[in-house]
Amino acid sequence: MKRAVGLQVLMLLGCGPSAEDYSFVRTEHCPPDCDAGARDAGPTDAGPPVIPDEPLEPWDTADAGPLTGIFAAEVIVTAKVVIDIEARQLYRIRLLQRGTELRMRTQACRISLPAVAGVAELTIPPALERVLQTKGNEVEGPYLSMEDPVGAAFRPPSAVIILGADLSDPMLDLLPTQADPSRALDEDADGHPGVTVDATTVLCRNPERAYVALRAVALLDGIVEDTDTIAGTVSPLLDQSVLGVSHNCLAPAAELVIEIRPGSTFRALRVADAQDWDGNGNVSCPEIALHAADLFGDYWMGR
Amino acid sequence: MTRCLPTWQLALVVGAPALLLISPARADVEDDLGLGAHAAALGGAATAVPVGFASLHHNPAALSPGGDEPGFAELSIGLTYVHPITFVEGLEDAPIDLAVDVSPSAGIVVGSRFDLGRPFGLPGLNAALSLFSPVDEIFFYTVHPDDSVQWLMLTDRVRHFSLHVGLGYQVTPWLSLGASLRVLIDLETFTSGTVTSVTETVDETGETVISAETLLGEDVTVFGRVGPILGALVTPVAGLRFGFTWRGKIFVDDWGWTRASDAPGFGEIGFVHHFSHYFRPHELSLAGSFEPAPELKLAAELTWGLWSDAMTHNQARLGPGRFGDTLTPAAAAEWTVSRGVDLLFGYRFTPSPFDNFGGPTNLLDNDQHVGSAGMAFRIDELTGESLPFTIRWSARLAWLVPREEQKDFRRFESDERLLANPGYPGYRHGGVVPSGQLTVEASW
Amino acid sequence: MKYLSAALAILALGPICAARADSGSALGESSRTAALAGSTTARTADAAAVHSNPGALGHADRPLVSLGGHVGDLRMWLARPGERPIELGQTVAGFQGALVARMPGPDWLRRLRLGLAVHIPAESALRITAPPRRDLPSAPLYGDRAGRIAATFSAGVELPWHLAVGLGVQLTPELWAPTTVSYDPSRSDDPDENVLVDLDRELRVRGAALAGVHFSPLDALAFGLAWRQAATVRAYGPNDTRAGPLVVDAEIDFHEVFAPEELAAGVMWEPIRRLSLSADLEWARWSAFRTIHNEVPDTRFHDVVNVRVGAEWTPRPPLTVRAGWAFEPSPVPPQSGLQNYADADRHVIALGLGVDLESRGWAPMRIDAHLRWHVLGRQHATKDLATLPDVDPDAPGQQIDNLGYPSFEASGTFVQAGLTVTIPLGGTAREGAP
Repeated sequence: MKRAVGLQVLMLLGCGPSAEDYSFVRTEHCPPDCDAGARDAGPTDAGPPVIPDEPLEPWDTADAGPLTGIFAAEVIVTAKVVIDIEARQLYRIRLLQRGTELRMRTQACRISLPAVAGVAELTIPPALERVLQTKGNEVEGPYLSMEDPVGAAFRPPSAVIILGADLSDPMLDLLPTQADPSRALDEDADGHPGVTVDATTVLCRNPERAYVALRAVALLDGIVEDTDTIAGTVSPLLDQSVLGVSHNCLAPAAELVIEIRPGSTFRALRVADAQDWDGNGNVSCPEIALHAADLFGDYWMGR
Repeated sequence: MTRCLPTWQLALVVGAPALLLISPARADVEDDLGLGAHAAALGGAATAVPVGFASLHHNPAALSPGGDEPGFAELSIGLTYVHPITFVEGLEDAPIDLAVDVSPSAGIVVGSRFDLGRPFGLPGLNAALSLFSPVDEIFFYTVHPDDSVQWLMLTDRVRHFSLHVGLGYQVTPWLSLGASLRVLIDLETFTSGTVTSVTETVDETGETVISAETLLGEDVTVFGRVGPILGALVTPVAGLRFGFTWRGKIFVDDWGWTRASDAPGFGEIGFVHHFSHYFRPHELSLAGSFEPAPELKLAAELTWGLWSDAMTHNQARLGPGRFGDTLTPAAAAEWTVSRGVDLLFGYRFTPSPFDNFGGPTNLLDNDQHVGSAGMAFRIDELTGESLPFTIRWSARLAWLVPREEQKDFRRFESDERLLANPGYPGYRHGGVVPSGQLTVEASW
Repeated sequence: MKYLSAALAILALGPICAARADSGSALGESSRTAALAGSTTARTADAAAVHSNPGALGHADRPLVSLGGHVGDLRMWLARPGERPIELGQTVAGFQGALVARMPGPDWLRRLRLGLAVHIPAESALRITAPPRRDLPSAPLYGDRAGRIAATFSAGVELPWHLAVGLGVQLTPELWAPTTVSYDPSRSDDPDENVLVDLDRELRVRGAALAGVHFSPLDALAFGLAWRQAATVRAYGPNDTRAGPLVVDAEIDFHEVFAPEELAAGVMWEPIRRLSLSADLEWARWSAFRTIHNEVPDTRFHDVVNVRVGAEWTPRPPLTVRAGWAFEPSPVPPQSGLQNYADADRHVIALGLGVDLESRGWAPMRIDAHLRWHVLGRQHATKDLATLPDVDPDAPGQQIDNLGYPSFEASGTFVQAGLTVTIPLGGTAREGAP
């Protein structure tokens, strides 16, 4: 009996690795014909474009000058985020010209955030785009240097767009932060502070989300080349504050510092019936986005 | 399934103490090569057999077994060579890339044992020190992720220095006690860098690459680390000895961080590392030796190793079941065939303490059958001249019992991880590890 | 379990001094060598010969073991005008051991002596500090030189005509350290688990050769000549990091001079019984010095000749007193360029006491103790603007961030104490053996 116990003690002491103590992590897997790497198709994969009905602003255009109309404007921002990059933005600008006076309404149609391909990329999801398109900036004043617009200098005041924050002074107030989110505003109504942007980084296994507050300011300084074209330089300001992330793998992306470099430009092109997809007399932001590749080149293909 | 010793091996463990000698459970300089040809020829089964300075590792009490001349000193210098011949074959002809090749290794063993007690009026107090070093390196280690296909014990475990210092004291004619220290190192490495420029380029595959030029600095500190070894040697009657040795756990702890500052856009980025090398668990050896005749010595040994406490090179403990404690039997014999000439033999079975069990890790290890043999030539007895030298050689052959590993989808989070595993769908591995030693000992 | 220091704490601690050592460690000599200010090229009677002159080993008359320890406090500072000094000091302690043995057997074999000397710092076995900045102030003759493990093996052969020659090797390490870090986000949701490190670390053994000749035509007169190859440590290898499109292909190439190449000539003379005087001239080739980043410094170091003298007197056995003085010119040139090395001409003053218990039959051992001081002069350095880089070429003017600009002063002292126990292993000591 004692020897048997001794043997069992020896066995217990020296039984080596044990598969019974090594737990399984799952019991099921894909059947043989299952594509484990497949992902669902996205919302833009198929179907005709959906253009919300957006009527033209009811401005009195009597005696309006030749510059009056709707323009699609592309702003190219040169910045440095680790390396030199370009970020492009698309705007709808409606102008009503009388002499040197301009009534001007600016809407942001597409904003691409500065990103480093393969390292950290932030993109605007459809829900945020809808919020963006409700943002408008309307000003009126003597923004042309002469009554004959062709060849005139075009210098409107700065246009400011705030997303995800409620600021008393849009230009001077600090954006909310993770430490002080008191002025954060859940503008896309998804339950997270600020607005939600999609984020992919080199550190993340899957696409994640960042909750941010943004401020974009553009000061245009251009020349009216002809009644259909205005071009010049931009002094942009892009300010962003990360209020939260869906996964800690985004933490390095939240630390990215964007440095705006000199050399940003803009080009505004008149749009009209050819771009009026729904024929309602107004070329809205979605219609401008739909034709952006035709107007400004392949960069906008599929964006 | 619990991996225990088969019944016939258990019978040997329990029923044949005269012929069972157990070497310490797992591979290392002292076990794979042996500290000197004497211990190597006995298969490392020297807990109850005095083997000169090598007793520092096997049983420090055997540094002072009795019978030494007052004021004696011994010096030993030896060469070792090991040449593993291994194979790793993918199942279903799948290609398997080894993270690091197993390569031959040569080393030098220097040891000394001497009477320390005489100046202090303490007869029976002996001291010893030993140093093993690979021939052209003080240490080599290689670290790869645990799922890279790599040998767990055969790549770098014999490619590092091993230093022992210790004392043995014969308390009474029948009892000796000893203590020694095994010396290794710890490493602390802090790497700091300053990013001086960042450029965007296109590599040879056409991919955009963001290349950062960095100025690196390092702060490296190598600390000493010791593991204790305690031993006792009991000699109740002449020709019969019992040895008991406990060896404390030891490994090289390697930690630090790497940080690059002034990274444009990121500021400071970095990572932390923590590795372990040459891990040896706590071990307990029990042994007996018997001289049925003046020219014949037999020994048996059993060693228990606490391998369940082990970790991988990446300091991962892997969870329950992966590493398991081991019990290793061994046997040895030493026979004086003629005046001045000894023959030595040894055998042990060393079970593997680790199994991948079809999981993400690919750490290769096998059970081993180890046979050894050697000879000793005492020059003064052979020649009759006053040449107090002994020349020893030993040869050892370890057969790695072939093993098969097949990946089990239940051990992986997803099929994606299963298919991406470097060891998928599985592999067979085994081989032989021959080694030899030549030692010259001088005494005065 | 870090028991090393505790296990060896049976030995007293002593300070660390510059210059050579029995094992080759800068600041780790035996107490006798330290007390004689290192003037031991022509002396034989202890383990100092293992490193200072392997030839003298051939005249060692008995085998012995020595164990010792030392601790020292370096107070060194560097200051720019109007600023608080930067402290470059450190406390350094270590343990040393040596073994000298005569081969047994026939007479021809007994002419051969073997020696082994080891030095182990108390705090760490090795320390290498290579800051990214090239202009960080440092004291190159102290610094990491004091904190490294050193081992020297020597063999000396006794020849006819009172001559002995010897060869030795001081082990020096070289670290090959290729590292590849990559990132695989698909492995896990935890970013820390996705960092993959593949590295090799191979610490190779290199040797710095030693050679020496010892000539003792009379019992009271001896000459010694020794050459010691430079002992350097190098760590190098690629250090590549990849995470997606981010690539950092860097390289480390660090180089530390632990001892320059040296040629020493010495003489020992016993004018009267129990009093011996020794003097050494030692040329050190510091001109081959390279910075920690394996670059030639802006201004090369220059070779120096160190002068060492020592006296050993046994007024009444078992007591021996020793004194030594050395002048070590600084090899560091005027620091007008990028680097900021702190050093100045150095006077070494040493005192020692020895008790030979064996001579009275009390115990077969000798205990030696020493005290040693380094007194450095004051260093003045003024930067040359033309040699300093402009850290922001885009900004108007020249932007200088050099840590020694516009000028600095430096100085320091070093105090060390130590104890060595020497145990003969056999034979009889020749009274007053040098």
